Formats: sequence, C-alpha cells, structure tokens
Amino acid sequence: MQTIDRRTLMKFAAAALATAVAACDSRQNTSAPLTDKAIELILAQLATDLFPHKSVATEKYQSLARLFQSRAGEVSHSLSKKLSTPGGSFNQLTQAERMERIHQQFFSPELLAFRFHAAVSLYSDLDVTQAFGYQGPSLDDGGYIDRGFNDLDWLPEPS
Amino acid sequence: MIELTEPSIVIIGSGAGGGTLARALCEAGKHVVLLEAGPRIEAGEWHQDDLKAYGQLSWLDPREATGTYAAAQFTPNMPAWIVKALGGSTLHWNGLAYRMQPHEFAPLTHYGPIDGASLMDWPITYDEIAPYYDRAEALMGVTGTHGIAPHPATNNYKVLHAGGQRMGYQNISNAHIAINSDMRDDRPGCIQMGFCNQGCKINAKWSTLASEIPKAEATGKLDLRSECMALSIEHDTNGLVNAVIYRDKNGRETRQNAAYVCVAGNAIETARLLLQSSSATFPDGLANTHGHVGRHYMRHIGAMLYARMPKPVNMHRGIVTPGTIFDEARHDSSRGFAGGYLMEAAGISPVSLAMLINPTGWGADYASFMEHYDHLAGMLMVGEELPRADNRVTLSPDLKDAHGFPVARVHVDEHPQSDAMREHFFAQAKALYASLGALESHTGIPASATHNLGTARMSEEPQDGVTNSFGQCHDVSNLFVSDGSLFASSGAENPTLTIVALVLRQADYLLREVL
Repeated sequence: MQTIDRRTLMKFAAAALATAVAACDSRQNTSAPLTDKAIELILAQLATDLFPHKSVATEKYQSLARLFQSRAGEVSHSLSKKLSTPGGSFNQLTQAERMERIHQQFFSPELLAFRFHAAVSLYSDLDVTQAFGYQGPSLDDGGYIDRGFNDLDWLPEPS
Repeated sequence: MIELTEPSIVIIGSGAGGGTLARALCEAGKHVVLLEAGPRIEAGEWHQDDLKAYGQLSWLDPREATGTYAAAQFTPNMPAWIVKALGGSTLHWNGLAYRMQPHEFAPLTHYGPIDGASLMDWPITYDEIAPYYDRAEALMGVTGTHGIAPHPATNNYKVLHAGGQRMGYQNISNAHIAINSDMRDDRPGCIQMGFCNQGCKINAKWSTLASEIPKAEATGKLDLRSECMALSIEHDTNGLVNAVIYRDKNGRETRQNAAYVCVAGNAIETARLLLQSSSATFPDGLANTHGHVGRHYMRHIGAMLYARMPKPVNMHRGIVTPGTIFDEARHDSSRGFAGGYLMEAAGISPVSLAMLINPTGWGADYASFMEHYDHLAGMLMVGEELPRADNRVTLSPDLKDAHGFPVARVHVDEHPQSDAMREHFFAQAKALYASLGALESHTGIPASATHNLGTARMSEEPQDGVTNSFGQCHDVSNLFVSDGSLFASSGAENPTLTIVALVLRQADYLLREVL
C-alpha cells in the first residue's frame, strides 16, 4: 500500500524532477561537498519553512526529506548547495535569511520539485490532515449520513 | 466464448459508451465481444484514498500534452485523468447527470462564426435526443427524474446555495445526480461517504461496472475480455472493417474477426486507434477521409475556487459534487465569451487541494489556509470549450508505448475566450463566498482533463466530421464511434449523460437498421 503511494507520488513529480536533474548546477563549489546528513537537515528545514504547521511532528518533515533524498540525490545536493551560503548551511541561517534564500531560489526546478513532493507527502498523510479536521476513509464508520454530512447550522437550509 | 474467426460485433472500451452499448445489444440477443484495456477491479478492492486510488484506477500509460495549455506545462505526460479498468471513467466520475441545453446542439447558429474556432451545429437536435435522455435517466437512476428523490443538502451545498441566493442566482439545484438516494436497481442508497472519485464502494453511484456489464453478462451473450488492448482495426478490399488486433495481458497478439466494430476508448484513445489503423485505402487513418479524426478536441474550460469560511463546513462529508448553480450556463456574450459555465460545489480532499490550488503556494499563509480545512468551501467551473481544428490528437513522432506504437499527442492552445470565462467565474465565485463572510479565497486551474470530447465528431456532411448522427462512420459503414469523441460541441454540462443517451440511440439504430 505504501509502495503504491510513493510510486504514484513520484510519477506525479517525474516531470518536475526530470527538469530539475537536467538543470543541476554542475559547477564545482569551493566549499566541501555536503554530507547526506547535512542535506537531510537542510531539506527538513526547507519543508518546515515551506509548510509550517505546529501540529506536524518534526519527524514528518525529516521523513519526507529523506524520501526525496533517496529518490533524487543529485537534485537534493544541488538544491541544498543553492540554498546555503558560504557562511553556513541553510538550516543554520536565521529565519529571515532562510526566507530570503527561498524567495531567491523559488522558481528553480529543484525547489519546485521539492515543494511538490513536500506538499503531497504532508497533505496525503492522515496523521497530518486529521489535525485540520479531515476525517479520511469513512466506509467502515457508515459514511457521514449519521455523522454530520449536513450539520452546518449557520446558514439557512436550501428551500 | 466467441471463436476468433467468427465475425462478431466487437466493442472496444467498457465505459459509459461501450458498457451501455454492450448491454443494449446483448439484451437484444446479439453476441458481443467487449475488449477492455484495463483489468477488472471490483468495489471491494477500491481505496478511499486519493493517491492509492489514483495509482490503482487511472490510465497511467504515458501520452503527450503539447501546446500552451496548463497540461502541457504541469502534466506533460498526462493530458487526461481517465480510468484504465473495466467500467472506464464511470468508476471515478462524479455522477453529475445534466442534459445539454437545446442551443448547445446548434452553437454555430446561436453563437455565429467565431474566429479561431471550428464551430459546427450537431446533426441532431435536442428534441431528437430528448427521448434518449429520458431513457438514460431511468437507466442510470438520476435523482429528480422518474420519481427518484433528490439527496438532502450537504454542508458544502448549503454554502453554495446560500451564497448563490445572495448573488441573485435563481437556478440552484442538487438534483440530477446519478447516485441512488434509496435502494434501486439492486444498488443501495448513498450513505454520504465522500470518495466518489475513487470508486463508490457501495455502488450507490451508477457505473457500467455496477450496472450495465453485469446485465450484459446475465444474457450469456457477452464475451468480455479484460486486459486486452486494441492495437489496430483492419479492413477488407471493400473498405469495410473486418478485424480487431489486440494484445492480451500475457503479451499475445490476437486477431478477432469483426463484422462490426464500435470504438469507445474515450476521445484520446479512440482517435489514436483510428489514426494508427491507417492503410493504403485510408492513408491518414481509418475513417479519416476528410481529416477530422483527432481534431476539434475539447475538454471543458476548468477552474476552481476555495474559500475559508468564518465557521465550520466540513466539505469532505458526503457527495463530492453535491449541487450546482446553473444561471451562468446561458449564452450571453455581454460577459465577453460565447457559451456558458456551471458552478459545481466540490468537496475535494486536502491532497487534491494542495495539488490544484495555487501550485506555487507556500509559507505561513498557505499553511494556515490548509490548517483551516474544516472551514473551507469551494466549487469547480465547468465551461463550454470552443472546438479548434488544431486542438487535436495525433500520433507522437517521438514517444512510443509499451507495444511499440506511437503514443497519443494531445495538442491544445486554448481559445482566447477561455481566459475571459475564467476571469468571470473567479469574480463571481469569490463574491459568492465573500457575501457569506469568507476571510480569504484561492483559485486553481486543473491540468489533466476528465472530460475528453470531439475527436470523431458527428456531422451532417461527410466533409465536416467523421460520423453521422448515429455514430456510424461516413466512409466505413460498419465502423461506429460510441463515446464522447462524437460530440460536435462540448456544451457547459458534464458529458456522461449525453454519451449514454447517444449510445442508446445508436443501439436502437443498429438493431433496427444495421444488424
């Protein structure tokens, strides 16, 4: 089941990822290459900045970052480099600095691909969306016919 | 089991067109071979989960989307979101069963010629199709017809209705939906589960899998072959079709002799199959003597708007599209465009919202909007799309499918009127929710098309289209088209009811005059 989820997810993002990979900046950076762990921290922070939810556990952002990294390693590295500065890793910057970096890089194929992945990962996750009031599958509970499908009471009933 | 050498009636595709046709012919005593590219997946196996269902039921074989429309940019290998499974797109459709309006069958007469559009009147009038609409409504169990009670109003519909009244709209209704309100046709009444687009797991919603195909099977005259992909249609030296070549799930190619072939593969695949079946006699594709196969491709003009309301809505509870405002469906060129549009309440899931609304949204405001999911209300626009000769399906010169055949390339440059229609909708929808105290709203434009029409359009004159009003090809008299490819215009209404009506009329004609 999870496999179907992820495979479908990646089919969606395939076009964006292909563009991102093609656009990978292959220039040699003067600083040392980032470690996998460093990239994971950067992407998890990026996901949190893109979609900040107090109700969403840090582990959710880390997990989706790791997944993106495992599927698109080159793009993850390139994106992390672009977001960081010679002075420090993206996740070590202040919030104002991070916002500025995101604004600057936003329409790069790498960031758009990651944004899509993060949005779909978070908002297809029932753990996340139940906190927003979404209730998920309903067949086993008998649908909503007795569970509030028409309980809105602050507008007039249609005549 | 029909012998492969026995010339048969072969129907390609089992959706609203093919499935309905199969039952009609089988119940009249005819043996039918029904080929379906997808597998048979019954309701017990469906998932009430957007992504899982998408992966399970969708046509995922790549196609190409080219041109300047949204699909070419956002979903370049997925111009259409349709189903690849027995039952076709009736598995994931919303159930909205609206008749097209009389003037929409004569758009050239009513709108006049429009630059950049290939407008043409249908070779059939509303009055001629009306008896078949009536039969289709009975067959599908459409609420508000034949004594079938409409559903109670859902939360999202209450918002649409109240806001619509404040806007001065007068034609707001939650009737004309092909979802049972009570037990009917051995199918239960709706329990307001939502997930209509993931297959109705209790089959309260009509589909050919739930209704037509079992009835066809019960006659003993249906030879159903699932996971069989039609590759080409062959013809004899007289230019009449005589066989369908298909590949089964084991990769084996089979030649089924055919006395009649009815193509119902949905508008992209139907066109692709005809184009693929070219020959010395039909160098531009089977039945394509006048060059219209694949052309005049229409979807509907699509858009959506979601608003954060001051109090809870819980739009996910219940029928996903529970009701519609019809006032803007009129033709009124003072608005800056020809034809009209429907405003359909739609309770989409959080992940669908994230994918469709503001695809470059992010940050605290975006997250806050999503966090208020249970306060969101929203609607879709379904608007008439003008046909254009160069909005068309062709065979890709670049990409081949798993069988080695060129995939379909779907090219669309929207007519400039589309933007005017969307802007009008956005303004009206925003004002509607604002009139009820909405705090913010966001818009979106869907990319993949769920309505696909016009690629083998019916016409009075052979030089203007592909088939006559019965879907019989002008230049190949034993070849029929039995799906939305037939539409000569899109109208403003969801197409399924019209497809069923046209196919019922085609079946009558076949039984009366052809078979």
